[in-house]
Amino acid sequence: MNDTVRAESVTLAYGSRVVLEDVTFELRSPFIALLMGPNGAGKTTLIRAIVGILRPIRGRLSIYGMDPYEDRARVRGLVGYVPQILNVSRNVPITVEEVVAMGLLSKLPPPRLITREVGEAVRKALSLVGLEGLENRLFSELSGGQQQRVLIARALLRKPRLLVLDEPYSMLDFKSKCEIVNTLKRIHEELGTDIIMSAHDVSPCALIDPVVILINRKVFAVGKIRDVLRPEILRKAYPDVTEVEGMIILGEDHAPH
Amino acid sequence: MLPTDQVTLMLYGVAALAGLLVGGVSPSLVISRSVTFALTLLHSLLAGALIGVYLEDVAGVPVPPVFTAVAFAIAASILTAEAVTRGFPEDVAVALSVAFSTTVTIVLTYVVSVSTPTGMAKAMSYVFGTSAIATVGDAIRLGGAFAIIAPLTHLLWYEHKYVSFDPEGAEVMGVRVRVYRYLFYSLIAIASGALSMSLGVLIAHVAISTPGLVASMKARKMFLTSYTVSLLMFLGGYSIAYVANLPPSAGVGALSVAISAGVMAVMRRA
Repeated sequence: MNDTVRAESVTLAYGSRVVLEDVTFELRSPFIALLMGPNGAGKTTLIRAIVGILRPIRGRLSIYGMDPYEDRARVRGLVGYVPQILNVSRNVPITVEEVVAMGLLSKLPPPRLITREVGEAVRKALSLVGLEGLENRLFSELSGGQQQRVLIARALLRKPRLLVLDEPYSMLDFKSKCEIVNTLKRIHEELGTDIIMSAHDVSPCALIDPVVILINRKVFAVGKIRDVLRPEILRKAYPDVTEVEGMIILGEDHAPH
Repeated sequence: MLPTDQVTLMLYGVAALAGLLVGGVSPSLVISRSVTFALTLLHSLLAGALIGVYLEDVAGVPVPPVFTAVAFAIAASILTAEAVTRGFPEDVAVALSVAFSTTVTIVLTYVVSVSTPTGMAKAMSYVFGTSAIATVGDAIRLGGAFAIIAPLTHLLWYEHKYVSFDPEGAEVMGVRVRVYRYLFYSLIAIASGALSMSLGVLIAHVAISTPGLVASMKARKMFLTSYTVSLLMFLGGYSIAYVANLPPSAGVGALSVAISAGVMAVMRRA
């Protein structure tokens, strides 16, 4: 096992529809990386490949030296995944404790009961994301920012080496976005967890100075914010971008499905 | 003919078994947002029953229609589950399996009606239910289905919740989402099959959703609420049918509609 997450000329497709082409980057631990691009750029597709749900049709993806699709079981033992909040069913009557416990119980065979030890681990994970005392609340009763942090706590319970988050602050106000980013920063610093997340909006992430991978069906740039967010690069990656007096305006959110 | 006290015992025994069966399976149906999936069952059970009637009455193969009905419902359920797994929205997946089942129903309705004078009447009893209030056969069927389904739904309740709540997250965490989808849809198909033989397909597919819908309003006590509502619905429904000399499907159907209307009224106010 090495300490890099690497994509070498990776092409991803759904059936015959190519979504991302010739993606190449390398991230060396410890890192926080941000997949940035407009709607439909292929951010979620790349995340699905990183967590082993989607197999590249060309190229090679390596998570600490392992193929995330071929070595699914091993890679999933190292990866904590936080899906887009819009893809989670908030109609299922499930408590915060049950959601977070899923991180640990999924490693065990059925029946997956919440024992005293599991309950204790859940409380610790919730305190890491600043939600102690909420374990008996229904997930649907929480605010969007709290729901997002519950999903992060669920991923943390697996003690992941790599945390992968798909649009962790879509549909949130700026304050909640900053809370999520601060939580991730603390996790990275205290637990040494590598982080890859996708987002439209880079501004809350300025706090953590991530490696930005700018994509829109291909990679346009990889580097720190100051190197990547340059007008000449952004105009190429965001062809329909709004410009006001030379300023490029980014940061649209997903509409609810 | 059974003495009256034994008839009463049988009546409430069958009603209680039906109530327990539905009470145990209904929350699974509701939390997986699969209420439209009942349409798959409605059409596939009828198609399966017609296959059974055809085999038994026309082809002379001694296969009870109850088996072909349940087998066909499980097949249609797996077809739906597979379509959902492959990315179809659930309503589209349901429409696909309904179209398949309906085609089989239409073809076999024609074949059975021109081949045997009693075949269609037999098949229609699966649609509307039988007029017999409660039989030993009902008790065995419902008890058997309950014995298979109840332990599995309770043992795998968390898995079902996880798969319904966040299928992609569950898969990344190593939960076999496809296997669980097949299993839960199959369990619901077995429950519906057993119930349809007593109540008919039409009422069975309404009755199986009602306790779960009420229970979803009491999220922390889902099973307790579901079992309570279901037992009340079946014991009350069978009592109404017994007193008014109606088929049980009429009594259970009336209560089911009344409960659903009550839930709608409460939710509208909320």
